[in-house]
Amino acid sequence: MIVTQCVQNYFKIVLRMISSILVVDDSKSSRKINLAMVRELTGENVTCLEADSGEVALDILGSQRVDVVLLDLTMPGISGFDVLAQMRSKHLHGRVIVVSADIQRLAKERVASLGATGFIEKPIKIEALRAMLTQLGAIHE
Amino acid sequence: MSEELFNEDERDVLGEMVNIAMGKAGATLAEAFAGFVNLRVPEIRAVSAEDLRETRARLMHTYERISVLEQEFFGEFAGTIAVVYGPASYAALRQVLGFDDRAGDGRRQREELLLELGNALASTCVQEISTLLELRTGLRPPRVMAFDVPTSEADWHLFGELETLAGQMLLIDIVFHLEGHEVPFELMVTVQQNCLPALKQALAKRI
Amino acid sequence: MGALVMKSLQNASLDATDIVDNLLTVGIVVVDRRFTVIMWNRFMELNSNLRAEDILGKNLFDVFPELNRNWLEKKIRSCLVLRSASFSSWQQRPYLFRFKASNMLSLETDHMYQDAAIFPVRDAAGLVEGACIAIHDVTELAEAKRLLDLSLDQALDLEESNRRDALTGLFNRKFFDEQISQEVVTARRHNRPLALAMIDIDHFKTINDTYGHVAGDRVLRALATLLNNMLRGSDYLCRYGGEEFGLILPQISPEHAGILLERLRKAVENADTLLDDGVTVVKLTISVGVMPLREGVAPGTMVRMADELLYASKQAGRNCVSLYKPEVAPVPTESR
Repeated sequence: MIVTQCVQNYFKIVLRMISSILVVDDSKSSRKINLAMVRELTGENVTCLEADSGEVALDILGSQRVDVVLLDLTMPGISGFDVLAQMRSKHLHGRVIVVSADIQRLAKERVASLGATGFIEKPIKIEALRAMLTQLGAIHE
Repeated sequence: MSEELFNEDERDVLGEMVNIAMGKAGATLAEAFAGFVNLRVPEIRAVSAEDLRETRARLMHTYERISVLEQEFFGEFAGTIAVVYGPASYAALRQVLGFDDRAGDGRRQREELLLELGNALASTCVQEISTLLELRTGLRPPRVMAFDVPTSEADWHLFGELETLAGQMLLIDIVFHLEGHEVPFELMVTVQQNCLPALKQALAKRI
Repeated sequence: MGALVMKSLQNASLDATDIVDNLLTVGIVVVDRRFTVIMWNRFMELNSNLRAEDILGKNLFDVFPELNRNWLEKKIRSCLVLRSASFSSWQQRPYLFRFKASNMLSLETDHMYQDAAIFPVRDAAGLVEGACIAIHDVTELAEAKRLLDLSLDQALDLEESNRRDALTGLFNRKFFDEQISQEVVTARRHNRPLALAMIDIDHFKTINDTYGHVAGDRVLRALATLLNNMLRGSDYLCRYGGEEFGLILPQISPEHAGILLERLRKAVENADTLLDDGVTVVKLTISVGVMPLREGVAPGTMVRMADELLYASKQAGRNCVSLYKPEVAPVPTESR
């Protein structure tokens, strides 16, 4: 027991059960790119979901367990900001990584205060996603 | 948008590029105003001279008085950018852009402020789109076309020339809503007809 | 891109900096992040009387204290941060560097007008490490525009003088005749009210005979001022004849026209006109005829009827306003 614990502490591996990732973006090409990157990084074990609007995203989040959300901000109808706010008020589960072209400082601050775990600037680079998912424990170093 | 110019996938890719360009320009504007800029989904349309009527009506409705700057961009990606301002907070702009009060607060100083900011927004936007498209572009110096006039008067400056063109033009409309300010800033990018084929090719590569 | 060009020039054994240096139509000043001058081409040398060897390595603002440091520093920093070009136009800022204008041309100006472009300069690694200020001499352009504006102003003045009465500064009879027709058309098109008043000074001949023509002129000018001060920006007060005035009142109802003219009449009655001798005070009264726009009445007829109403005021004892009343004097029917 102690040996196992030492080994675990030594390698500082944190194992978490990540089984599903939701990509939210009104742009089809953007969803395609993000999903492709996610699949490349996480392999077969993770279920990938997509939503083309904030409304659909909230539906999905309300009806099934989603572990990680890649969320666009600028969408017609319900914006990414609104999605975050509603996730909070409805206590919806999911760690949110905002992936957006809206890179102003206040936007980043706002999503952080609304509970987002991270922010990746568009156009998304695989290294940035890798780093973020590693941080969340979705993939191992 | 008319099917003639771009197909759905091409429109989607272009939309994302404009989105990224808008984000960059928006960040510049946010710094200039030290406030939050509300970004909405930009409008990208193929318009004919008649469709402009709708756009003009919207402008008349949104702005009572406007200032309009025009800046040409040329090369593989070419066209014109019109920067439309409602009554701006000159004091706020001056402070952030660092133009001192010594020069006074006359019309020339205000025009200079608008030109400075307009140029920053327009060039950020257009350069980013052209970089993403891998097409070459350069910008000419901006000009003040109308300064603080009733919107109906500026109408010709904005659309006068476009009215004479036959066929369709690509119009990209980016509106920046400054939090706390009722009247938005706006970039209207008209892409020249003869570079649309190159644009289409560049988009097709990225689908 | 730069590397490609450099290679190409090297292969041809050409010195790239020679091109920039000898460019005599554009001033090139390159500064680093601390505003130390690292390039100063011949245009700048010749116009500033400062040789490159005397400025390279020095701080730009130390050498040119009259430059607007606050503005230019900010502009250069902005260029370095945003990594894009910005511009300056003579129309907002006449010049950056105060150089003498070319002495070949007969110019009104003593300084050079300048357009400028400020763009970032990259090092070999591709990082932005400096800014280039490109100065264009646009003095000829500025002068041409100045002359054009002057001509336009003069043309407008001329047009103005064609429609003004020299003595009173009011619009003249020619303008009145044209404008009343136009106002009638506009009023009918937008279904808006319009009124016309003809005003005549009472016993003006007597004033002229008693006090002289100079005094008469004085009285006319004073009356013009008095009336104008009580009118709206959209109203047109015109000198119609020697002592007669036409007043076009757009967007006014018949009732309000009557009220307004009564107010004017009273003001004139109460006013004192001081003559040029500084002592003599002249009192005036006016007679007025007011004709509102009516269906089927042509502008010419409208003027005629206002005149008849004016005459009626004179007949009624002067110093009064006669407003058209349909039941009293029905309008003669005629085609428009």
